[in-house]
Parts: sequence; C-alpha cells; structure tokens
Amino acid sequence: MAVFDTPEEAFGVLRPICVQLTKTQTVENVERLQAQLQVVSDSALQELQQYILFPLRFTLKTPGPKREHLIQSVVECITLVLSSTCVKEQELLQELFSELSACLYSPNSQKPAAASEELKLAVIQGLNEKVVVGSRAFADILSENLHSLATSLPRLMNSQDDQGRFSTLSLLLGYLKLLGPKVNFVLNSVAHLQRLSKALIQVLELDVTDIKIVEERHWNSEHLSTSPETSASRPWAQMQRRYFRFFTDERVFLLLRQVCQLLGFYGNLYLLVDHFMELYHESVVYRKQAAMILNELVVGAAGLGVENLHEKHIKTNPEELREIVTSILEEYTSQENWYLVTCLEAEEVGEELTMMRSGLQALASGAHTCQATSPPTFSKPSPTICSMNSNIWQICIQLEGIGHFAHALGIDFRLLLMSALYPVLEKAGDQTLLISQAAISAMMDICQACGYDSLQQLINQNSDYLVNGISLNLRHLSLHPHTPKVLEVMLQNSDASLLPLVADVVQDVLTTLDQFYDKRTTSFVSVLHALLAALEEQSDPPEVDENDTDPGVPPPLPVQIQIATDVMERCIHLMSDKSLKIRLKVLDVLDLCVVVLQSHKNQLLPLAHRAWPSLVHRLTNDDPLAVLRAFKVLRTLGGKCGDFLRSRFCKDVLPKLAGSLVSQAPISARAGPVYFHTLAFKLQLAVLQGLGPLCERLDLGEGDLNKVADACLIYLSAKQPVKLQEAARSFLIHKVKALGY
Amino acid sequence: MAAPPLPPPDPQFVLRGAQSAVHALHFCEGAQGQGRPLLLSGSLRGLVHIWSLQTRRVVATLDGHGGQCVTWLQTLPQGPQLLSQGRDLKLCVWDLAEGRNAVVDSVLLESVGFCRGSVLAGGLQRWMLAVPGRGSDEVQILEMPSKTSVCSLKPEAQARPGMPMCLQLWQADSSPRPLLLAGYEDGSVALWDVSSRKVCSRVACHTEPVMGLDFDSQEARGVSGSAEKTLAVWSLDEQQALQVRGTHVLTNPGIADVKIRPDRRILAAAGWDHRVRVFHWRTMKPLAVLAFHSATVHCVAFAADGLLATGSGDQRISVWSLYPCT
Repeated sequence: MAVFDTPEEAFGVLRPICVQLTKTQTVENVERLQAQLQVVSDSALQELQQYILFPLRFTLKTPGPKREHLIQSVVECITLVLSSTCVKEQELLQELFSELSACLYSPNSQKPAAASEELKLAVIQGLNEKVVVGSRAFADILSENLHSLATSLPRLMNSQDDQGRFSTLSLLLGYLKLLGPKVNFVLNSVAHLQRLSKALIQVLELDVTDIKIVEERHWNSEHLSTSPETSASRPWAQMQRRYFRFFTDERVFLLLRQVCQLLGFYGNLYLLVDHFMELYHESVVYRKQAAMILNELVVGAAGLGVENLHEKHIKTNPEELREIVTSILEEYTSQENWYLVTCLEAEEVGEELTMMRSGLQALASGAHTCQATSPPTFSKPSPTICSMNSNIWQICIQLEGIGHFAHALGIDFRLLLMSALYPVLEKAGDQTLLISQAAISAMMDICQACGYDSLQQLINQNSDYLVNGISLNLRHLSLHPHTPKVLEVMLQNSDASLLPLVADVVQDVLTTLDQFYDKRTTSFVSVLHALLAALEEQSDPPEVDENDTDPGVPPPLPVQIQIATDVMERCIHLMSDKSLKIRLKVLDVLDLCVVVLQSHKNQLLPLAHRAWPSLVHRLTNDDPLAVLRAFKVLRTLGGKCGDFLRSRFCKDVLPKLAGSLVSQAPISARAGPVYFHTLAFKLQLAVLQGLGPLCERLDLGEGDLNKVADACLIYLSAKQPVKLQEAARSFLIHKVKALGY
Repeated sequence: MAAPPLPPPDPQFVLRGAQSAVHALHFCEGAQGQGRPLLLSGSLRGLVHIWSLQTRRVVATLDGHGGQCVTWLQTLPQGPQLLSQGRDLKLCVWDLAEGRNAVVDSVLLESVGFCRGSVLAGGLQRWMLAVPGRGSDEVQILEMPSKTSVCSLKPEAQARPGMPMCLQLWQADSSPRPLLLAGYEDGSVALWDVSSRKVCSRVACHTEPVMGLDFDSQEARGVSGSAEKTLAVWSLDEQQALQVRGTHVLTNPGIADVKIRPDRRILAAAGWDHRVRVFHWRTMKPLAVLAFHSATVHCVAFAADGLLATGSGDQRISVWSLYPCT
C-alpha cells in the first residue's frame, strides 16, 4: 500500500513532520510520523533512514525528564524503521544500540531503569534481531533485568489482565532471546529459577470444571485407517484446545509455550527437567502444568520452532536428548501416572480391586485442586467430576508430550517405540473422547516423525514390541485390564507376515483366558473375534506338496489352523455363557472358526461334533437373537460339511422347531399389536427366517422339507401377522428352489 | 499384618523370532566403540541369530550348520570372531567385524555327542579349544587358529566315566598350566591337567549324566547340574583334589545348563520343568524361580552387566534384570 515509491516523493511527505518533531517532541508528533511511514515504500525508507531516525534519536537524547509514554512511542517508531530497513553503518548501529539500551538501564543507579514493562518490551523488540547480540555490557543489563522480572513474575501473572500478561511475557521472551545461552546465569540461581517456575506453573493452571470432558464418550474403535497429515508445517505446534483458569487469550498461551521452548533451547536441560520433574512429583496441583512445561522444554531443546540468534550456541546433543526423553516417558507411562480414573463406569473401575484402590487414591488426592478451580459464580460440580477431568487432562497432556517427543527426536524415536507404543495404543481405545483423540494424534506424530506412512504401518512394523507388552501384561491381568484391547487393535491392523508372532501370543491369551473365565470373558471373546477375523482375511489355504510329505508322519498343522482349533475348543465352553452378549459374540467367533477350518475336515468335524449339543440348545432354547446367529453358524457349517449336518439337523432340530411353529401358530393368529413385542413372536420370526436358507444349503430330502413346509403353510394365513406371513412365503420360495423346480 | 509376598519377577523383555527351540545363548559385549551389547542365540534348526539389545530385534542371521542344531556359541576378543558348534559335527569360526558375517574357518568334530566345547583365550594370537574327541570318552585339545592337535584326553580304561557331557577350560592365577573340568555321562566331574594329560582328581557328583557345569576360579568352587533332581556344589583344594561340598535338592528333575554371574553373586540353573532357578552363589540360598517359559529351558547366559538371558524349547528368549550387579 506504499503510495510514495521514490525517495523524492517520500522526502516531500516526511520532511514537514520530521521538522515538527525536532521542534516539538510530543507523542502526537511521533504518532504522525509513524502514520506517514506507512505510506512510504521500503526502498525509499532505506534511502531516508538516517534522516528519519534523526528526530527520533534526538528525542531520546534530549536531556531533562522524559515522559515514559513518549519514549515508548519513539522506540516503537524506531522499531518500525529498523524492521523495514537495514542498518549499513557500524557506527550508527552502535549508537542506536547504546541509546536503546539506556532505556533499559539507568547508569547512575546501577539498577535496571524504573521503566514500565511496556517500554522495556518496546525496546527489546526494537533491539531484537536487528541488532548484533553479544555486547557484554548489554548482556549484564539483560541478565539483571531478567533477574528482577523473574522476581516479580508470579505477582504480575497474578495481578495483570490478559493484555498485561501478554506484555510481560513478551518482555520475558525478548530477554530470553537476547540472552541466549547466558540465560543460565539466571537459571543457576535457585531462587530465581523457583520464582520463574512458580510463575509459569501458576499461570498455566487449567480450568477443569467442564462436565462435557468426562461425558464425551468414544465408542468406535475402527478409527485407525487414517493417514498422518503431512501438510502441517509445524506439527509440534498443534494441540487440543484447553481452558486456563487465569487467562483466556490464546496468545498468552502461545507466549508461554515459546518461553518454555526458549528455556529448553538455551537453558541447561538437565537442570530444568530435574526441576520441573520434581514439581511434577510434588503435587497433583502442579502436575499438569509441569508436564506441559516439560513437553515444551523438549521441543525447544530439539530446536523446533526456535530461531537461534546466537551462532555459538550448541544444541543439546541427540544422545543426551534421547536419554532425557526416555526418563520423562518412563515417568509419564508409569502405573501411577498413566492409569488414572477417568470415568466411573462399572466395567472400568468396578471389576478390579487394585484399579479401584489406586483410583480412589487418585480421586482423594485430586479433590482439593478442584475446589480451588471452581468458579464461585457457578454451582460447583462434584469433586469427582473435577478430579476425573483433571486426570483426563493429565493423560492428554502426557500423550501430547509423547507426540512432541517424537518430533523432537525424529527417526531416533524409533528406539523408544518399544516402551512408548503400547501405552499410546492402549489410550487410543480409551472411552473418553478427549483421551482417544490425543492418543491418535500422538500416533500420527510418531508416524510422521519416524517415517511411517500410516498408523497401520506403525502398528504392523512394531508388533513385536506390542506383543512383548501384551504377553508380559497378560501375566498380571488385574493390573492391566486393557491388555486384550491392545491386542485387538493390533490384530485389526496386522497382516499375514505377523502370523508366527500372533500365534506365539495367542497361546498366552488362551492360557490367561482359561484362568479368568469368569471375570474377563467379554474382553477376551472380543480378542478371539478379532483374531479369527484376521485369520479369515488371511486364510489362503496353503497347498500341501504331496511329494514332500512323509507318509508315516502327518505334516504339522499350519499355524492358523492350530489357532482356530484352539479357539473353537474354547467356544464350545463359552457358547453356554450366562450373558447373552457373550453368547452372541461366541457364535460369531464359532462361525469364523468354521470358515478358517473348512479345508481341514479332520480338525473341524470332531470339534463340530462336540459343539453340536450346545448349538442345538441355542437353536431351540435361547433368545431370538441367539437363534438367528446359531442359524448362521449352521449355514456356514452346512456349506463345509453338509453330510455331517443333514441327518443330525433333521433328527435333533427340525422336529422341535417345526413343532413349536405349529403350536405357536394359533396364538399369533389371534394376537393383537402387543404381541409383536413378545419373545414368542421374535422367536417365531427368527425360526421362519432362519429355516429357509439353511434347508436350501443342506440340500434336505423332500420328506424332511415337507415337515417344515407344513408348519410354514399355516403362517400364510391372512390372520397371521404380516411379518410372519412374509417370512413363511420366503421359506416356501427357498423350498421350491431346493427341490429344483 | 504380614507383608505381602513379592510378586514373582517378570522378564524385562522377551525376544521372539528364533523360529525354533533355542539351544545356545551368548552375550557379545561388542567391540570398542560399538557400545551396546549383542545377544547371540543358536537354534534347533541350525541358525544363529544376532540380536541387538538396543532395538530388541534380529540384526543378522547366520546359517552355517546345514539345519542342524547349534549347541554352543562363544565369541573371541580378536576380530571379533564367533565360534558356533553344531550337531552337523562342525565348529565354525565367523568373522563379525564391521557387519561382516562370513565363515572364515571351521573345525570338523569327530564325535556326535551333546558335549559343548570350551575355549581358553590366552594371548590374542593363539587360543586353546576343547571339544569332544574321536573316541566316545575322549576330549580333544586343539591349538587355534592353526587347528593343531595338542592332545587327546582319554580316561584310564578302568574308570569308565562314559561320554564327556560338558567342558570348561581354565587357568589358575598362580600357574600357567591349562586345566580342564569335564562332566561325564556317569555323573562324575574330573579335573584334567592338560599339559601332562593326567586326571588330577575325579569325584562322583551325580548319579545321572552331568548336563552343565560352571566354575568360579577365584573361590575354587564349582557347580554342576544333571538329569536328576540335584545341583552339586564342589570345590578344589590346594592339592587340586575335587570334593563335593553339598547338594541342593530341586522340586523337579533335569538341569540343562548352569551359569554363575560374572560378579559371582548369583547362579542360574535352566530346568527341564520350564523354569529357571536363581540361587545365591555363596550360600546356595534359593532366591527366585523364574516362571515364564512354556517348554524346557535349554540354556542360560549372563552379560557382563548382569543381564540374564534364558533360551527355551518354546522358541522364546527371555531377558531378566535381577538383583543389581556389584
């Protein structure tokens, strides 16, 4: 929007106000000059640089008491000029530097100038980047200023409004940038480090009163197909939106993060990590903030998002950084910091006494934070919700940290996957939406940092690490109740190359299942289902080379056949579980077992024989849902071993089902609309719907078919409910097909 | 209220992927500058796997025994080189320097026995090797790398100890004479003076074949395990006479391997009952039963830093960090 491009034009416009300012030094005149500068092109400004700086520098140098507001506007104006031009003469640079420094420091008092934070900020911004950093005297001044700012920081953070905080933190950031590695002079003073960290911890306190956080649930586990976004240019800068108790301005948070990153970049990382780790341990009141700070320290130490103004400064070496990250990671994922109570549902906390106990402890120790954070104007949510929110945030922050660490270490983070991947994957399946989102985003970060194309590839290529965790955790299932979930997610993302590894851990799973039949059946049956689903997908029955086999010794069974045999064995027992939910799932697993075993009749038939009585029971004496699933299993079985099934079905099942259809028919013919909601109706419907496809599949003889057909014919009556009529009609069409008409 | 018993220890991690039973384990501390130690494992199907303990993954697979079980692994300081002994009657010398993995030499063995070899690495140039010899009761001593036969140690005719089952070459601090401890099929342990080819002493430790032994030369005390239910602890007096100090009765019979940790604090015994038992070496007080494997444990090995690895018929290698090393 430059209006005046040539130096001649610009001079014409700027001259009057420059003369005016030299004569009368007021804020208004400075502001007028600043306004005019906006319409002058950079090239013209460069030509006129010294001419424009003259009245401004003159104002700074004029003896006598100066109004701070004037100085500030002068400094801002100088900053504007310097930011659009280049200082070409060494002499001018030095003069400007000392004139600006003088605003920070009064030589007479040997103390930092009693100037406002806004003014100092303006000066720092003026000096920043445009001025050679490295003058020793200047460093001393800055150091002195930082000392005093650190001292007053907790008070300022407490008393200022967001605008004030923004200015103060900008100033802090400016000091840190300019001091660079010399920041350690300040950090090495225990008192100053404590002031600084106290201020950061205080201002970063989260507002944990939002009820939605606990309530938002995550049910779906089929979410891992997404690919990491490669478009984000600063992936470590992304994070979940959070709410702070003391400020709302997002820019304040941004500054706080930058401050921490700079500390990590220039400061003694061991010292800082130790310090904030201590605060993390000290109290649940500090824990979340300390973790946020630790996360940013690491990002900074890796040099991400930090612009280095000090050429001599050497970044933390990767080996050291990895060690530090490893120790933080260990802390984050330890039993007491990773397994926090985040909801009160029975399945989460009710089952395991150990979990409950540690959970209650966490609740008790978390309770008092909440009272401090509740805004007085609203009705206070229960401490339980607050402490669960607090726990949720802690887990999220730690997950976010793991993502940050991955970016900080890059490909080196692969060495940490053996301990990091399992806990993150575990949280990806968490019921709390916020946690599962944070976990998935951490996995995306890992993918990007370590060079994996997709979450699936990340999981697949590190399954050995996962299996190690799964197998060891299964030994202590009560301490690690989510282990089956991790295995399930792993199985959903594994391909055939992992079969030997899977086979190895399946033995552990089955052994554990045998020990925990009562308590954890639901989660184990889910695992078995995922396992068989994976096997079914991968099952291309390998061709057995007849010439290669010793006729005396049967060849060893393929791994997937062995697994399916072992699992089907368990299904026989689990099919009569008292929970309908489990029975349904087991019938699904059984169905998959039959599919996988179809090419191995020697294994399938004996197992089918043993499963038969229980299967008959499902068909003739169970919930309508179970009846339908059992029909499905029979259909699958019928396709693989029809002969085996036909006679048994006609003998054990058909008469009972036909009989019940006949005896129920008069009842349903008379019934009103309420009948549709009864179990009897649903059973009739399930049997009528199930019989048709099965009879077709089994290729029943005419006599047997007629038995069923007679029962079905009754249901064609117009008095029967429409749904039953339709099901009966559908059966008869199947029958016609089966008889080959 | 009584303190709850400590939970049984867990492995630090488990290595999967040997793809057949693990019969030999050996830690390779890594040449200067390489830092991280490696773990070598020998499998029933003849492969040697080299595991990185940093990534816990296989970094190389050596195939030099024609699919026959690898029973013994040992690294030599020079090179570094690796010795692997297989049931194919071959002992291979591998060059592992700078990521190479080539057989540079091999020794043909003359006995099909189960006996693992032993090495005495004196100077950097020459070293001594003990392997089962031609006769079923003989031990052959070779000078390496020239493969020159030094002697054959054959028990006197009336002794009839049967086949040698396990060997350990060593040297006392006070004397340069190489000595050999050998456990035999009849359950006895004998001390041979290699130079004079004479048995210094022989003592009956077990009634079943000795499956493994280890010797603490500083305390002049050793331990052996056999197919039966006992561990035997024996010592050597100044006259080089072996003497049984005590036997320790186990719950189940069958010890496949015993190893004393380099700091001589603890002892690990690999059991046919799928378990590894850990004892305090000085007192033989039982410290822990490591229950993890689901098949016979064939071998145990300690790293210089104290890490314990156990290899089993269940195709897994478990790695344990127990009682801090001194």
